[in-house]
Amino acid sequence: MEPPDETDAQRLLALERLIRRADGFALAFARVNAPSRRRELVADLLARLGDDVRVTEVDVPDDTTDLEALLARRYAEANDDGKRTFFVYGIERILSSVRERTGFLPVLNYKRENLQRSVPCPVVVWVPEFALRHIARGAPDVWAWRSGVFEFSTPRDEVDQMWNGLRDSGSEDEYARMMPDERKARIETLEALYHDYTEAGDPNARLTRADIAGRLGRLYRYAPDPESAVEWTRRAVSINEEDFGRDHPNTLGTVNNLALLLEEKGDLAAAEPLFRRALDGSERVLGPDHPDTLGSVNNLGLVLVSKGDLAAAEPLFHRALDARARVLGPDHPSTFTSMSNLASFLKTRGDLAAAEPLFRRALDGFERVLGRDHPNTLGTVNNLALLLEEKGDLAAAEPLFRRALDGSERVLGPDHLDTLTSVGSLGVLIQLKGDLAAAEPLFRRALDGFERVLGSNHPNTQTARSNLAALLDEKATA
Amino acid sequence: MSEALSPATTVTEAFNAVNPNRPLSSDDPRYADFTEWRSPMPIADRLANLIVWPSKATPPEHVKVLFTGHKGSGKSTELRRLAAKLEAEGFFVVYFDAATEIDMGGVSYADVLLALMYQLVSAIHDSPVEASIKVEAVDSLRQRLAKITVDRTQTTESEIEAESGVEVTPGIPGLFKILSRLTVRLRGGESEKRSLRQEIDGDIGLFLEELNDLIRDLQIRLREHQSLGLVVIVDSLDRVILKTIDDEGRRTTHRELFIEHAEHLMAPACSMVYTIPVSLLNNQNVANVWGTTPELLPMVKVHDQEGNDSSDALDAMVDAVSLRIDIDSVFENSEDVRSLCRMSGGHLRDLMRLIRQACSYTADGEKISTEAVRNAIQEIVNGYQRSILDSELPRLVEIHRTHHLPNHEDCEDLPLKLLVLEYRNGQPWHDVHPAVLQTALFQDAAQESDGAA
Repeated sequence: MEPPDETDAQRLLALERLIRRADGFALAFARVNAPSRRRELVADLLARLGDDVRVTEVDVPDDTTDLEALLARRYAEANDDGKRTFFVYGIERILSSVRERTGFLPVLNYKRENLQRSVPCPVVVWVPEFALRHIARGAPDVWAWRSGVFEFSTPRDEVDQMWNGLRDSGSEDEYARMMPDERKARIETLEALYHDYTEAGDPNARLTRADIAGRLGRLYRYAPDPESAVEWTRRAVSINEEDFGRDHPNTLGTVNNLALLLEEKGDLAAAEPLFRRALDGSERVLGPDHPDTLGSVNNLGLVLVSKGDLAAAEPLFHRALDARARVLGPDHPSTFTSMSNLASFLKTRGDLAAAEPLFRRALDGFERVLGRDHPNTLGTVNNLALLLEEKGDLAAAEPLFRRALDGSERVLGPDHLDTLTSVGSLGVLIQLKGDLAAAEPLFRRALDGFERVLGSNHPNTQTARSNLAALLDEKATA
Repeated sequence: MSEALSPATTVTEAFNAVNPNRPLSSDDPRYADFTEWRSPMPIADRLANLIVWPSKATPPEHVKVLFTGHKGSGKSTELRRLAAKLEAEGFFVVYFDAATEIDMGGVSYADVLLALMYQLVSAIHDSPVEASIKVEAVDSLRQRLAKITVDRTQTTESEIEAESGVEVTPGIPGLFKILSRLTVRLRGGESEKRSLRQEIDGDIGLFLEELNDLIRDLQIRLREHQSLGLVVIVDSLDRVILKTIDDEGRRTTHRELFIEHAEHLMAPACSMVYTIPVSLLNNQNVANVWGTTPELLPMVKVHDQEGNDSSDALDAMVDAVSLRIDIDSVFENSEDVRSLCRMSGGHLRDLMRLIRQACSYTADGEKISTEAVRNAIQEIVNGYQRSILDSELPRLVEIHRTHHLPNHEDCEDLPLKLLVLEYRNGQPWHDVHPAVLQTALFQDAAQESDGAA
């Protein structure tokens, strides 16, 4: 976003004037992306306001749902006659989580009328760019009440320092293993960096932006916040397309990621052509046996299975497994992924006897290579359990379901899609065992989680809903 | 700042003369009449006629009027003028701002009726007509509500005593006390609200009958006092948050309140004005169930469909600014005021915000420069850019091309977010906000769609 054409010194002066002039309530937003820069600007402004204006600084706690109530309380405590202003920090911590955001913004929006009465002084909200966008979209009435937005920039050397000091590998693996809080903090930092690498005509800044956008797409996938993941990945695709062209491996990689995210969201119609585009491009540019090509082969197979086109999918799984074993070696994690995918495919087709040994080999491989708690390992545990359940071996399936759930709760967090899937799977098993009372809370938890994370229309949510309905029916007739 | 009613001559005064958060009172000299550039006749006059004419029929009739407009277009200002007009005509007017009485996060029709009842009773309580209201007209309603209060607070002995103390006060004063307690709960916690709604919802038929007993008696007493009768004006009900409440995305909080529960909102036996969300303006179901189409306060038509300035309308907006600000003392270049008016899309609150931001870029003792005006415009363009979702871009491009807002669920949010504005004067038409037209996002999308076409 183009900052208005004036220097930060002028912007700070303008903000100072707004504070001094406002007669009663006025809402201003100070956009600063880097926290270090914000501290400099605030210190500067505090010095300039001096003793004439008293400043109440409010660092909003992460669990706040009602900002107006918090500020009203602080205003009542600060009760005095002099000129006062409020500086509000930290709401980006709330806005970076889809769950907390959906509670916070609507309340802020409808309580704006109260804000004017309960905090009758200028209120300056210090936020990074991404948080400002959430406010503009999620609390449009508050946004419409602003008396000004002041867009501060962060000097390039500070931005570079932040970027270089981040130690972020950008790998899916690193993000998958992160603790939820750590992931939130990383999202905030990367969002800030993205908006600070703005200088037009600087090719390095653009490259970094594309890189950051791709990373944010992956991070949001695990947040989990599917909408934002898609939005950021699309952004990465379009920057890469412009800078490298449509068939460059960087572009194809982001296209593939975008297709994966759309598939996860349940939008198969949009995902399939993107997978085909990625496969076609990398076959031409990188060759038929390149790992990226094989990844696309595998992904296309999965989406075809989801669409129910098993005949078209089968040769793809065989091709991916054979080539990966040949090119990457028999002990490579991607080889095990292919093995597990082929096993899932066989299971879907009803060939349980052929699927089981493949699952066991893949699980054994993942445990050796990636460890017991890696998301891929846990996914395979869950798949093997589903197979055993289908075979009717509930006693063997149950400890596996419990292990998968326990692991993903710890590693991915209670609201991660994998965790929710595990919760639902365990519920079904317990229902099959006949313990309806113990199954119900699991079904409810899964449905509640899917509704919050994916929305009420997603196929996973609908499945969870009909599972719960069937269970309640069964309970009623039992 | 009522002492600052003469136009501002300094930037500081100017800053406070254009507060985007405060509507004008009915007699404020800074009120500007944009009738000629928005609608065929002054909107407050039109609304007044809709209510006055039927009230003079024999027997007098009452009507329900729906009023809508973009947020910040001046609806509250117009409704305050309407209230003043109707009072001058001899009506007993109860005006209230729903946003301050009810929690806009999740509004139920029961909340609206309860707030309405409280406002009505408190208006009667404050007026000489109170003494003439028959105790019997109030009794059953008072007892029903007293029961709700007592049932809910059974937890402590002392509260029950307090409640039974209330119960013995008959007539309007007793009813007023009970309602004061109940309405506090409208802004309380979710479970409080839910139980209150259930109590009202369960007996809604009887409840409305009893409310109408009171209203009918009031109407008789008012006519005895040469009044034309009761009018209730419910402002700000358009602020109910838009949320989807079913799986298919067809039921929304707006549809639930204004279509499914229209019957209940229409029940009071008096003339009423409700403000409704602009998203429902063209909704055929609203017209069907209410038997009337909403009255719209459109944008000031600052440009025509081809994008050419409508210079008379711009003049009128500049004149409106000059009622608040002495332009020559505050702006370096009076043409800049025109640029700001143009960029506001005829939306008054955006115009005020633009001026405020330009003030901030101007030092005390100086005049607002062209540079400061440019900064303000850039800020509002950036501001709109932030609120656009990628998924909304194709619709915006289409609307700018066709000047038509499709009657489709995925378009309901666009006027609420002010991305699309509605103009009238002759045929109604829509356009994308001028600030949105200048965003890089919109321009890229328009270019892409040109390329594809």
